[in-house]
Amino acid sequence: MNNRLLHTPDGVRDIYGSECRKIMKLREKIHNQLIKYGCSSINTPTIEYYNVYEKKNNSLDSREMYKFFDKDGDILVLRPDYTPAIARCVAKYYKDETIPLKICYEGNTFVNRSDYQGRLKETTQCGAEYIGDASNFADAEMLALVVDSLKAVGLDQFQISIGHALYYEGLVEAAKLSSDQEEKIKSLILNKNFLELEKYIKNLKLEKNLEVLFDGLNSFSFKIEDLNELEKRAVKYDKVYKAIKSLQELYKILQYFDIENIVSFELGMISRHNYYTGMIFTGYTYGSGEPIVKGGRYDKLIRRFGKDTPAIGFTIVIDQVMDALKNQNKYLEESYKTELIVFSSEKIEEAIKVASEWRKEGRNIQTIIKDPDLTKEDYFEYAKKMNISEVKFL
Amino acid sequence: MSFEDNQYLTFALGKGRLANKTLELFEQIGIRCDEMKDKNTRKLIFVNEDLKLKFFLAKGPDVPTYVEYGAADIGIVGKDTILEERRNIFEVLDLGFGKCKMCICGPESSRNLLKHHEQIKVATKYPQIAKEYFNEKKYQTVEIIKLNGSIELAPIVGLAPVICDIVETGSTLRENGLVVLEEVCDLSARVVVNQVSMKMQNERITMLVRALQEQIEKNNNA
Repeated sequence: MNNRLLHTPDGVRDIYGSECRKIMKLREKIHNQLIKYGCSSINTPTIEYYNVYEKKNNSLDSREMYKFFDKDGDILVLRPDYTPAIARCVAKYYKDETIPLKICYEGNTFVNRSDYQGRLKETTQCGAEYIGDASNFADAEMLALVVDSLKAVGLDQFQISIGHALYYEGLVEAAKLSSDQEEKIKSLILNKNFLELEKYIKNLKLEKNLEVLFDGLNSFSFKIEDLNELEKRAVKYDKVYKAIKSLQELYKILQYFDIENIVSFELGMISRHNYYTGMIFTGYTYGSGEPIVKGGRYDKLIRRFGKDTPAIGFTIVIDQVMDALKNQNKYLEESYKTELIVFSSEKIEEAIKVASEWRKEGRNIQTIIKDPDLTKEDYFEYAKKMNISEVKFL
Repeated sequence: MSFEDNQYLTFALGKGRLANKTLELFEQIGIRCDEMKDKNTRKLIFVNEDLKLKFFLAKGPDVPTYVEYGAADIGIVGKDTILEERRNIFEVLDLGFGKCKMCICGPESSRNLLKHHEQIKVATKYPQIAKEYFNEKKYQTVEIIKLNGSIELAPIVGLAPVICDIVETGSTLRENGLVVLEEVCDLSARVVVNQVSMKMQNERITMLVRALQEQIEKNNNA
C-alpha cells in the first residue's frame, strides 16, 4: 500500500479532536488579550515573494525556507516569520500614517528544518506589532501585553529576559575589536560560555570601566540595581550608555504596569534576527525546551519596504505554550462542547425539532440516526471518543 | 520534564570512558551517584535524592538531542558530537579530558589531493564536520562517504583516498601505514546546557559549572 496516501510528511501533523479544541481556545484567549490592547487583526498570505525574506530582513538561512517558483519564474516562499510580512503591509497600506498603529496576527509559519530532529516545520504563532512609536512606553506596553497573554492561557511561572541590541554593538565599537575577536566573543556569548568569556575579556586588557561593562554580558538575570551600577561605568560610551538608560526608563514604566518582578535583564542577549535595533526580549517557562515568546524593537526594518518608522513586536509560539501547559499538568479548556442526539428513524421529525430548538438556544448539537444493531453503550463509547459531553436518545 | 519535579536537574552523560571520567570529576566536587557505579544494574535512570539530581547514560550523538529538548538540562559530550549534531544548545564549559583531534588522514600519497581544490572523496563518521571543513576552510568540493566505524579501512581498501576522523594517539594510523595529513580542530569533553534550563535554573547551573571549573584548575595544578 502506498503510505503517502495516509501519512503526513515529516515535521507537519494533523491536529484533531480534543487537542484541536484546546488549541482553538488557547488562540482565542491570546487573541482576546491582543485586541484588548487595541491591536487590529491582519491576515497576510501564506506565500510571499522571496525578496520580502531576503537575508537582511530575516534571520533564517535561505536553505531553511520552503521556496518555489511561480509561473513567471519569481521565487516564492512559504512564510517563515510574520514580522517582515507585516512590515511590508504597513509600508503599503499605511504609508502616510503618522499616528502609531497596533497590529496583531495569528497563523502558521514554515521552516524547512532537517528531518528526524523531532521538531515541527509548521508552527502556529500569535503576535503583535506596535508601529510608529519609538518610546519606552511602547516597549513597556508590549511587555505588559506578553505578560497578560501568558497569564490568560494559565501560565503562572514564567520569566522574561530583556536585553538591548545597542549594548553589545556599543561595546564592540568602544573596544575597537577586530572582526576575529568579535566573532570569538559572539560565539562565546551565544554559547553562554561565561567562564571562557571572563577569561577572554580579561586578556583583552581593556580599560577598567569597559571591562566591567563587558562582564555585564555574562549575567543572566540582572536586577535593576546591577544595571544602575553599570550606568556609572558607561558614561563615556555613548551607545552603551544609551542602551542602559533606555532599559532603566523601561523599568520605570514596567512598575506602573506592575510587572517589574517578572522581568530580568540579560545584557548578553543577542538575537539571531538581524533586524533588531533596540530592546530585545525572550520569555521562558518550565516544561518547554525552547522559549515561548520572542520579540524586540526593529526600527529600521520597515524602512526597507519604503516607510521610515520605528516598531516593536513579539510572537508567542503556540506549540511551545501547549507543550509547557501539558508538561505543567495545567487544565486546558476546550473551545466548545458538543451534545449528541441519537434517534430511531421513525422519530426524524421530533429529532429535527428538538435539535433546532437547542441550536437556537446556542447549544452545539450533533444528530445521528440510531443503527438498530448498536447499543446505547456503543454510542456512549463513541461520545467519549469524540469528546461529546452529553448524549440524548429519542 | 514535568512541572512537579522541575527542581531536579537532569544530566545526560555520553556512555563509556567519558561518563566515568565525568563521574570522577563530579565526585571531587561532592556530587555522588553510587548507583551508577554498579556494573550489573539494569536501571536506566539514577537519582541522587539529597541533591535533587538525576543522571542517565545515552549514546554520545544522542546527548545533544536530549538536551535540546529539555529532556536533560545538562549534557556531557564530546566536542565532535556537538559539531556534528549542530543542535540549538549552550556549550558552557570545556572539561579538559577526552582530548584528541579531528584530522584528515590517509596514506602519504594522498597529500597531493588536498592541495589543488579538486573534488575529493572523503570517508567519515562525521559528514557535517568533513563537509564544512572542506567547503568553508579549504574551498574544496567533497564527496562524502558515510561510514559507521573502522574508518581507517577506507583508504586501505580503496574506498576513499582520505578519511576525516578522530585521532587520539595515532597508533592505529601508523600500524596501517596512514598519517595525519591535516588537523581540523581540537576536541575534548564539554558541558552543554538546554537554553531554557539555563534561564529557569540559572543559579544552580552557574554554581555547578563554576565548581567544575575550579576543580579542573585544581587538578591541573596538582
